[in-house]
Amino acid sequence: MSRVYIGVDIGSVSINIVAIGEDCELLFRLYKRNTGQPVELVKEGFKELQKELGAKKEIAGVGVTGSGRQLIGYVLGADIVKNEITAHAAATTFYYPEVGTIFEIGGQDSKLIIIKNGIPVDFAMNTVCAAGTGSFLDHQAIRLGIRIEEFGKLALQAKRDVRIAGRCTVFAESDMISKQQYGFTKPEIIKGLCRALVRNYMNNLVRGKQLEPQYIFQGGVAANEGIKAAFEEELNHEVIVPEHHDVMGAIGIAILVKEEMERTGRGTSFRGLDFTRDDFYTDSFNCAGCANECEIIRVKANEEVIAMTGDRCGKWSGSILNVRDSEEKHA
Amino acid sequence: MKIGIPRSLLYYYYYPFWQTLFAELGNEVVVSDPTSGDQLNEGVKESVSEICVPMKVHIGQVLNLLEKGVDLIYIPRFVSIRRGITFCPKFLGLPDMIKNSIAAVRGKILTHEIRAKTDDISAYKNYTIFRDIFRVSKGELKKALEAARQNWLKFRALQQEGYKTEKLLLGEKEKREEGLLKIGVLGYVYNLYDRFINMDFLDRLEELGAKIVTFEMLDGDIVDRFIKNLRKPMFWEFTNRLMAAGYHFINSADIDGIIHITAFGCGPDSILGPFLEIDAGQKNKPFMTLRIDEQTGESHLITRIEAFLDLLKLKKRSDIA
Amino acid sequence: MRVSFPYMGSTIVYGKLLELLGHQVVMPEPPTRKTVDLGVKYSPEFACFPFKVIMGTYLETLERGVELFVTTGGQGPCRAGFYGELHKKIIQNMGYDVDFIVLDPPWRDYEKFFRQILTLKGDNSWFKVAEVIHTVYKMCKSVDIIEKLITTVRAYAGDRAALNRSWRDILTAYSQIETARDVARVEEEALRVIEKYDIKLPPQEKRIRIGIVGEIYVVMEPSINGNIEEILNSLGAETERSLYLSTYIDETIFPWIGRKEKKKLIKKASGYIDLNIGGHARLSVGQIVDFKDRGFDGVIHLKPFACLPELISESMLEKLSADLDMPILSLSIDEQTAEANIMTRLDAFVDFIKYGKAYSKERVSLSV
Repeated sequence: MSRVYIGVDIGSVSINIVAIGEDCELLFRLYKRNTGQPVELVKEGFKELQKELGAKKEIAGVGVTGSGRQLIGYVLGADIVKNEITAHAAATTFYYPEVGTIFEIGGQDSKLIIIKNGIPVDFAMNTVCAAGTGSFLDHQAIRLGIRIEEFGKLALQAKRDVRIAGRCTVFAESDMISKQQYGFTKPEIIKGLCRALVRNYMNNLVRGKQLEPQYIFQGGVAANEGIKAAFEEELNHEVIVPEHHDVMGAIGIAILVKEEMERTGRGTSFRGLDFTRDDFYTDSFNCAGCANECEIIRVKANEEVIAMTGDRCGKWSGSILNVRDSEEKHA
Repeated sequence: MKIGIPRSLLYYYYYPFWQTLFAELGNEVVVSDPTSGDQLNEGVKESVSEICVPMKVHIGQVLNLLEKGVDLIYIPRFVSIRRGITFCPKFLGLPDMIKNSIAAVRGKILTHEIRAKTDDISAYKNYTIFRDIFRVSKGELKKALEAARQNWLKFRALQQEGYKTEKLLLGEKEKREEGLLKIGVLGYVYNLYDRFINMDFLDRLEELGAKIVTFEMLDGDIVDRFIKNLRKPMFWEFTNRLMAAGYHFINSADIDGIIHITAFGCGPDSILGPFLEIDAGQKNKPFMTLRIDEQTGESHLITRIEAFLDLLKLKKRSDIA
Repeated sequence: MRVSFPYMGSTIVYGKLLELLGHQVVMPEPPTRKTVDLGVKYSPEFACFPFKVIMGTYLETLERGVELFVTTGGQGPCRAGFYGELHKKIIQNMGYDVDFIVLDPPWRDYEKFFRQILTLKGDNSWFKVAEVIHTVYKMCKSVDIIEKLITTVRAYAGDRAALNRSWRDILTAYSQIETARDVARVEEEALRVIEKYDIKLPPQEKRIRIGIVGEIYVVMEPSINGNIEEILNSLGAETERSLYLSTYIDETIFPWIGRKEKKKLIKKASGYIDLNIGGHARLSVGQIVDFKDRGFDGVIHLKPFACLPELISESMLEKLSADLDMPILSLSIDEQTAEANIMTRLDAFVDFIKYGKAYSKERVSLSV
């Protein structure tokens, strides 16, 4: 039986699951829109995975990343739960050892990772503004009445340049409307939007940082040729979009869990494929232990508490073993 | 030498002084281009994202001067121009910030501390480093400073006679319009007179029939006396002046309303604003805050000004009736 | 008179001082989400985060019948020096009948300062006042020693929750001291408790040490900075701050004590920030250099969103990081801060430091 390692990336817009083999070769990949029920989606994903890989594979490690990593980490009994910046860096340096700069643009956030000699050395991440992320484009696509999938191709058809003030989604929208009223075509407006997004990215994340090639562009938005072209124009250099650009986070966390398991030699803590039949349930209560009154989130599997989180002091999250005991005392 | 002066911050208060000073010392004075969208964009790229708009404008202006190929860019460090009162931390740390965040500008900054008892900044002791830089004698430097002072005093006198600052800076003379409504406009010079940043706010007010009064138009004594009598004045020079002007407006029967124009991210204004707003409210003086930043919409601004002036007109009519 | 004061990391100092002088102290509670919401609602939109949180705690303690708030003013040019005045203006405008004593540095107005001190001194002898200050000062020094120990060993603790509980108990014990002798007793007991956890530090080259610098309020107050030290400890990194309780007392009450240390930091900041521009900005830069000199692996720079002085230090972090060859992460904190976002950054930051360390020694190992 050969070993496989599973990587799961729970993003705000999509949920991705991959399986890699002992040479890090990709055996399975799944990209699903996150409809807001991550546990159900992950269950379905694992059923598909089981069907595709068959019984001859042994799951030797599971890693979870992405903004929703915590909960799914508990549900799966993951071996490692890591931030998506580290995960993305791991995947990209595996496929492109010469990489210098990673642009990652997802639905709700965007990141910049700087790599030197194969080692991630610096990063930046957008904080409050959505104007540099995928949801910005989604929003404008709806306004223009076109499908997001066509967005990038249309941008390449633009004959003229038009500047859209894109510092903020709201302002971009009003500017876009006024430019339309001036008679610019849809492709031209779209190209303007792509450039506005890249400009925002440069202003908010890159700022004064020195960027070196290779430039790798990944994340959900990387499918958009218009953005890729806008990056190339801004950098005056080729930008590479990896084949599996949309699941790089999941691949990265799979690589990380593989290395971790091989290095430590320990067995996986994965709950097993049967977890798809378990009932997961989340509730919360306010801890009365101190004036903070933290809202404690409790994750249960078939009525058994498997995780607690949300406390500032570690009283609950740090001691799942004493859960029932302390619950009686404090709650 | 070619000396670059950024068209930002205290340019709008001291340019006549600086222009004369550097010219008298035998230099060519280059002022950066008026603020534009592209220039501001460059400034935004090189600044910390949370910093106020005037600082982003300033950085854009500095970059513009670099393009123009000047030998030195003049960025003085204003520490104090009144006993016990200083400047906003961003002014105090301005040269440090510029030289440590823009690599291309290193070695090209002309900076020195300005410490004075009044806004007359011509005291020789602040400028001693100029002697080596411009290879001039003490006598020559003093003579240049005096000439600069005279020119600046003339500028200040014209401001108080009601001539438009924005025109005076261009060497033109034009009086502020008369109008039906007298509006006290509170704002730092770099927000009032940067037409790009405020989207021609002053002209628009005048077009709508307002007579504008700003803090530089007030008699210096009014401001000085007010600050002296405060138990705890604000720490920042021009904030105190706005406060003095603000309370003067609140207590002047002939001022119909007050507009406070403030830049997004201005720290001192976040303190000043509530004081004025609360007290204007108690004295029943109409007060409006206009916030400007790099993305303010023009139509939004016009709507607000128009609505405010309409309100004042109605009030005036009902007050008379 | 029922007296209270703003909540920040130094609550225990204020509380102890006033209590030992015989005032009826209303202890403010650590700010919660509710406190923050309340503060944001009644503060000017563009006031900085500490202003809003303190506003929230004022309004909450007012419900418990406070008659007097004691707070410190300042000499600027940071905005915080004006907060006392503005809080007073807004709270009184809301219709509350409460007095404020805003302690400004004496040289601004000797007469007023002296009058305020007399109010606070009450019927106590000056000897008693000196004794109280001495006791509180000892307490701060002692709390600082224990806290530094906690943020070191917690990085390697097996049962962090238990260690946290012990730490809370230790703080409670400190808050109950009455004399300098009590302080010594509590400290001994605390050391014994921590000893019991039997935590072994790894060899020097394997330790990851992170310094935390920046604006005093967000650096000192765990309930505001999202327990950043504990998070870093849980990621396996030791932490040390630039500011502790006793630094705070040194600055406000005994300015001459910290002078030598301050001079050293100012020297280290030279070339970056050459003038006191308010707050701790110049010292923050000096501390960053100092942490590097002391062999730390990275620094986190914390500030409230749009903090005036710390924006200047933030503008040069890129250069500092390159000059010192040390990673620096800057975080802004306010009511909009998303915890998940901060968590991701901290996690990645520690990972990157681990990579850097591994890389300089042997083959790169991606697994951390």
